[in-house]
Amino acid sequence: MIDAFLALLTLEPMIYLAVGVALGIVIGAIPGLTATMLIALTLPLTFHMNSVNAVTLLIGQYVGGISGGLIMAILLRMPGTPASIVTTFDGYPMSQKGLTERALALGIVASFAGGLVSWAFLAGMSPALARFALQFGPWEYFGLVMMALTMLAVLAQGTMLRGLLAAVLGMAFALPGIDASIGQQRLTFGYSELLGGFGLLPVLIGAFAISQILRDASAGAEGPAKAPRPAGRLPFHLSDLRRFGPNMLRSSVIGTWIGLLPGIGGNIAALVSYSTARQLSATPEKFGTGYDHGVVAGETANNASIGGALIPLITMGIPGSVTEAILIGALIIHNLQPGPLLFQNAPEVAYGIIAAYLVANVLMIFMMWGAVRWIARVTEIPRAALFSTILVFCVVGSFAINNNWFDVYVMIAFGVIGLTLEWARIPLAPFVIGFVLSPIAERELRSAFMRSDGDVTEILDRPWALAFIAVALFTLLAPSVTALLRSRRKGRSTGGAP
Amino acid sequence: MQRPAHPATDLIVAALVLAVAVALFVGAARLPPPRWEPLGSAAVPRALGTLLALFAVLLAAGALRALILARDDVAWPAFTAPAARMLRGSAVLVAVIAFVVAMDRFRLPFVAVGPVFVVAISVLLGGLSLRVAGFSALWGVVLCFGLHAVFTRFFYINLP
Repeated sequence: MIDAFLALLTLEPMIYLAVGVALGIVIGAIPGLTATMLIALTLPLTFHMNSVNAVTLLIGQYVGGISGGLIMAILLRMPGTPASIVTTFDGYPMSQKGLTERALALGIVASFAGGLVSWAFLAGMSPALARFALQFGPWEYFGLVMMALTMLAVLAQGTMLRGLLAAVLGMAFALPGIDASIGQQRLTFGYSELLGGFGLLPVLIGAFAISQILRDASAGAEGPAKAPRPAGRLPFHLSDLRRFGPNMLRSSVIGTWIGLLPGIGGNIAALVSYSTARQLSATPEKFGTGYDHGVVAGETANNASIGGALIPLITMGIPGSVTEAILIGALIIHNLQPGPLLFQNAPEVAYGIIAAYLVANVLMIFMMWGAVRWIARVTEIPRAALFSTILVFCVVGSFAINNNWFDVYVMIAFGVIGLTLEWARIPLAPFVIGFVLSPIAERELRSAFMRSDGDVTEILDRPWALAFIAVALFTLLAPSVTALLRSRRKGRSTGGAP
Repeated sequence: MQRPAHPATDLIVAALVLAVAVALFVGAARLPPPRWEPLGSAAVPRALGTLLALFAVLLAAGALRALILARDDVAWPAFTAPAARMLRGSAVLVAVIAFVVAMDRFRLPFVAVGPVFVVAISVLLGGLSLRVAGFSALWGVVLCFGLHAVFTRFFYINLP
């Protein structure tokens, strides 16, 4: 770990990290643009970097992207990222009361506190969890992927059917290409371009950047209203740490643990943390009216969820959200297999991620503290200029992956698919994560069947695999069983009524 | 909370999903039976195809049920509204495709087509005015020449 910090604190990685955090903050501050889109667009540029610098840049963007969302949430009631929705509840009313600088100061410090506590969990738990995961075989990995996918699909926005449909559809689009097990073409339908399958990057850029721009263009591309510029210095005192310390600590723990669970994400972490803070408060009626504890609870938890989500990513190769799925893609592009072996095969990357996460949070607090008033101005850039620039990057980035146009057409096609899914209220996150996890799930399942010579009952001797499958089944069946029990109870109570 | 999709939207999506399921079954039927391993190459496409077909049927059944049982006071989101709003989005999509085709099929250089594309998108989204066109043309030239230089000199990737 110390080596990772020493390697990170040199000129080149620090420049990448600083650029990543700065870009993330700016993009995170602009409503409609997300860290996910930024990371997907940056991936092609990381081909020529060494893996540590590439991961450092992307981690910086992730931390900056989530943190930057609070600026517009407080100034304009427009969360820059979904994770900052809760910040609008009290941050904007505080701004309306003339407490803009105070709300920004609390949000920035809370974001840093969340990052710091979740880093402690990340650094403390990851190596041990990775050692534990080394015992896992193909059945365990297959069970783990199924559990993650099911939770993502069921907990995604919309109904369970739509979430599951999205996940399975994403898995199906990952099938074409050469089947590595037998070296034969599969589902290519005679198109030689499909021999390599649909590239991860064109799919990600299409699904997140192109579809979002097409959607925003359809809705109208006017820029956001002019944000009020914070004028004075940001007020925060040491006594505030005493006052908000317990809230920050509690929200950090909630955020980290929610981040650990696949598919839940920073916005739910912030919401749960906010609700808990309100329930435990002596003055719950103040929440939603511009109460400083509300800003602290939400911003601490959404940043803490990043550290939590990085734990299953580096220890087991399981993404908690779309952004982590893209980070997994980044590692794969650099010939690194995320999972427990990462600590053995590429410790400089595994520990580099942990170190970069902490330093990114430190850079974030300094950058946001010093530059928040100018960042607020950046959001006034006209959407037309922003979108045309992003579209050029999308095309150039997709082309640069393999120097061929097929990837660019794939990107456009997946942009249209993403837009169609959105139109049908089918969530995009399970679709993309299904696409990323499908090859892993198939490889592990086939490997498990080969090892057991086709005997599926071997899974009964693998308690962890059984536990993961049981959680997946429980996640699938729990909503239906609960609804059935509720309707029976309702029927019984209305049946007994005169 | 999101509004539900119009039942007609669900029917269209169910048909598209069913088409993907059929493609999976057709593709899987062309694969050889398993020889060295129990599952074989066709197992996962067949399993996913079955699941997709099932989900498509459930989605369609739900949509039909909603249409049949719909009361007069149920306000679905207008089915035609997305199509009308999509006009500008469609124009942007056409511009992107034209930009790519110009470089791919007609072998036009990136530094020539790029600025035109930036102006076209800016005018489409920002409205037709001399100010928008002028600024975007200037920005387009800077952006495209800059990207071209970065990709060719630093990443050793030849943009068209």
